[in-house]
Amino acid sequence: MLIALVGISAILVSFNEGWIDDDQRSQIADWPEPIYDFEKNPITEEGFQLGRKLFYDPELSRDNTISCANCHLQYTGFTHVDHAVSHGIEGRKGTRNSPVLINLAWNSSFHWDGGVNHLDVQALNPIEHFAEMDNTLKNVLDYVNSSKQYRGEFFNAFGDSVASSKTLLQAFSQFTTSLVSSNSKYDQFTRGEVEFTAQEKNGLKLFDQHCNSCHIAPLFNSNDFASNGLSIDPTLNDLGRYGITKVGTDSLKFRIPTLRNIEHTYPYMHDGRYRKLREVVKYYADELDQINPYLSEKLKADMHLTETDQKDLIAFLCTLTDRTFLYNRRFGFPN
Amino acid sequence: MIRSLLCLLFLVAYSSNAQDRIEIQFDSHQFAEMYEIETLRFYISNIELHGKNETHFKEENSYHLVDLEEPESWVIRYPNAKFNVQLDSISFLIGTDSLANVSGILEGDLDPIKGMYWAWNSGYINFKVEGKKRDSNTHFEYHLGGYLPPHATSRKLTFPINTDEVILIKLNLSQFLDQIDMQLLNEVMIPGADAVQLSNQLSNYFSIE
Repeated sequence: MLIALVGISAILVSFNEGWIDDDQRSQIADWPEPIYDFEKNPITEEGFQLGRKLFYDPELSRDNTISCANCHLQYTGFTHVDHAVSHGIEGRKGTRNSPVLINLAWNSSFHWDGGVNHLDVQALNPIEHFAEMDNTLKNVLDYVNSSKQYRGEFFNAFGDSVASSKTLLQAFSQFTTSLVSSNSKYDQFTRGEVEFTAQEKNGLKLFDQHCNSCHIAPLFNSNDFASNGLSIDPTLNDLGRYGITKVGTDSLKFRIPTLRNIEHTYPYMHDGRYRKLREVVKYYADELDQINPYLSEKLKADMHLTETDQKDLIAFLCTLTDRTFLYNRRFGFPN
Repeated sequence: MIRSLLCLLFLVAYSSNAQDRIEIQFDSHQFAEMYEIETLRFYISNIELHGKNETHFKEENSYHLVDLEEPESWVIRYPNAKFNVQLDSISFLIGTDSLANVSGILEGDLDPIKGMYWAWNSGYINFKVEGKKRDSNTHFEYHLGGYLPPHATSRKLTFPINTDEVILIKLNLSQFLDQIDMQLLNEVMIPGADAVQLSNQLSNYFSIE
């Protein structure tokens, strides 16, 4: 029996052994199991490097001007810092704040409205969206299949030099699932490696009281949608999750995003309306519209955060910054 | 290529004895009177053949994209199917099953490059028809898809088989389009109540010849 169990766990490990290194594996030992099915797309070094190259390749856009990295910059948690909504080719603007690409293997859906139900099909959106790359899947496949270099890399990664929709999209997932952030000061604190300051400790206490029911540690997100009561921007008229489900109670609900690396991922909220973290905390502490019928039940309690509390909470949020993630050269522009 | 048609016929042909094969054929009958059809593409999936209350044939990974412009897609062959019993019914889905809609990137007829996949709201367009109504010059586009309740759009159909030789199933597209008030609704491009309503109606226009 024991041998059988060992055998099974060995098989389970083998599906994702190329995914992350031993250090990270020990850092996430107590985390929930990833949702991404590595069995269907086992991560290899060749596949990861191919996905990385595609991620940084502007030839994927219709006019060869922007790559994925234009809206997802590593140093800012793979989001578009300083831009309220994302920008595409020819200066076209989208309607939402580009999301961070952090710990995606634990997400059950993607986009602010959760419209994408599997990581492997997510990349179709930026490739084909009018306000992003405005290209077609067919054009991208024609491009990589006409490149001798890509053909060799697809062969090394997937055993077939001709890229298909499947191998192209799985290559992206090999890179994006590898963007694991698990070594922030908070992580080091929970592992007993560093101490928190008194301010950070108070911030953690406040976070556990007021924030952790939605932004759940250790991932600091939920795979769920809620309305935080923000008034609708009439120029965007974005009803969020309702646009996907057409269920009335989903109106104005948006993804509950991860807060990891939030110090660097400004601006904030689905439409990027807040530039400063202190504005976000102040909004939750002082400005929630309690009679807004869409407001999440979890926010229907006054937080009573003093100015000092708000500062302490921000000090805690800054412990979610993971410099080994933001400056990991493995995730940067390929050499 | 612009084609006009009143109805689409598809044939399910099988032999229960010496031939040991099944063939499903789709055949179009063209009429240029009411509608100019620019695109007609739909999935049939989960094809099963039954006899005496038992399933005798169940295709693995059974997803077929039928495309008016691709005559080879009107024929589905099962060269090695064998039966020792009298078959009495056929069932299949118009559209894809929910498994196909949640499994990420798939190949063959389910490859998103086929233009039957919604990227922004993951899932397949089960049935797509685009064209023009000649008398009013109304352009219409109906993309019927969605797999999540209450807006699921694939429909299971079962028909009795009463012959050993050929089964002929007809989609009367013209009648389906006739009953849509195109002044009120000339396009459906998202999952939702309209797509459900049209999918319910659509299943009434498949029949056994």
